[in-house]
Amino acid sequence: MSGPAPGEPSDVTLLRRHADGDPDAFGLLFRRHSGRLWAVALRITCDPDDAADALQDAMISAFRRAGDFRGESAVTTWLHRIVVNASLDLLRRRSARSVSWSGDPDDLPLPEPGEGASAADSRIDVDAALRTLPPPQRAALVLVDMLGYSVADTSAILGVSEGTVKSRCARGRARLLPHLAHLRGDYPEGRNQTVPDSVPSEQGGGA
Amino acid sequence: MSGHWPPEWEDPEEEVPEEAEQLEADAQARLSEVTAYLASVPAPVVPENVAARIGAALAAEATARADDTAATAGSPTAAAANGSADAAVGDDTAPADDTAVHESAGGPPAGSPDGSRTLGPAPARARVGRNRRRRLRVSLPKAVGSLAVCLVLAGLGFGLA
Repeated sequence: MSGPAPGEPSDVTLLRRHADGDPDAFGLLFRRHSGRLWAVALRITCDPDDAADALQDAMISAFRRAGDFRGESAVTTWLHRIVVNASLDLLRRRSARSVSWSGDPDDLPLPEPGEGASAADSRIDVDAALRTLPPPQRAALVLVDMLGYSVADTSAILGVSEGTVKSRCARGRARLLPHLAHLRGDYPEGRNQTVPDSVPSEQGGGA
Repeated sequence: MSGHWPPEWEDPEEEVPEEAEQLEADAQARLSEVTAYLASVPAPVVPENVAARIGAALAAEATARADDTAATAGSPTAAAANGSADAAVGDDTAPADDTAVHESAGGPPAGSPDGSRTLGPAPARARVGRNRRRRLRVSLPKAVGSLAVCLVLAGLGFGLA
């Protein structure tokens, strides 16, 4: 998890400075955690444009409500919660787009420039697989398995019990298993098969 | 999600317990591999255009906040009115930290992902209203003073009578 460099103010200090009127404090706070916040938004929305919209909405909301932060949780937890809620809210408003994958590879997010082929392929496969999950399961799995949050922290971020987090993660993993098992070489077709037959696809049920 | 499985997913009763335990262990192992694989996926990098866009939005918010603060600081009565209004909003959203954001998971209104009422620059109509109320407040002390003088004179008159 990103944190302040030696000599830089802590997250709480930046938030307090922002609440006191410092015009640059919140921008510094955002830049410090932008990577993880972007990862959360992108993995949950599974669309770069939606992720950008959700992250912007979340940061503006956090900017305006920073004065209400009581310090009962970490600043990063608070920020992640706002981003998760913004992402889920955006998916609710665009509920027709996010649940299933059409099977068209052009719908997948493009790899970042400069990435190696293996890293790009694995991320495309994961993004396609994550799209098949219901958003609440997707959010739990992203926070726990991909970003390394503990079950307790994830329950605080999502606002549900730890048992619910564990249940969502278990079910999400079970649903992802057939999508990702081929990457370990279990299928004779190898890495090229990204979608099982059960996923609806314009290409006739997957590769 | 409910725990109701389709009938064809039900395990046969004559399944051997040892085999069931082995299947359970195998399933757990495979699920653990999913976890390990997800953890190995590299994190996406924030696109520069997204970072710039959000930075510009935050800068605009900071400018709007500074302008609003300057506008309210220019008039003490307006600042008092705005302070009372902001306090009322703050009470509405309190406790406005973790628990309020927790409540927003149930479906906050559009445009407020954490369930809060978003504050922004007051619309022009409200500013006009505050100006009207400011003028009314300025004249109220005079009216009260006049009324007090009248009451004193009336009391003196009654006493003389």
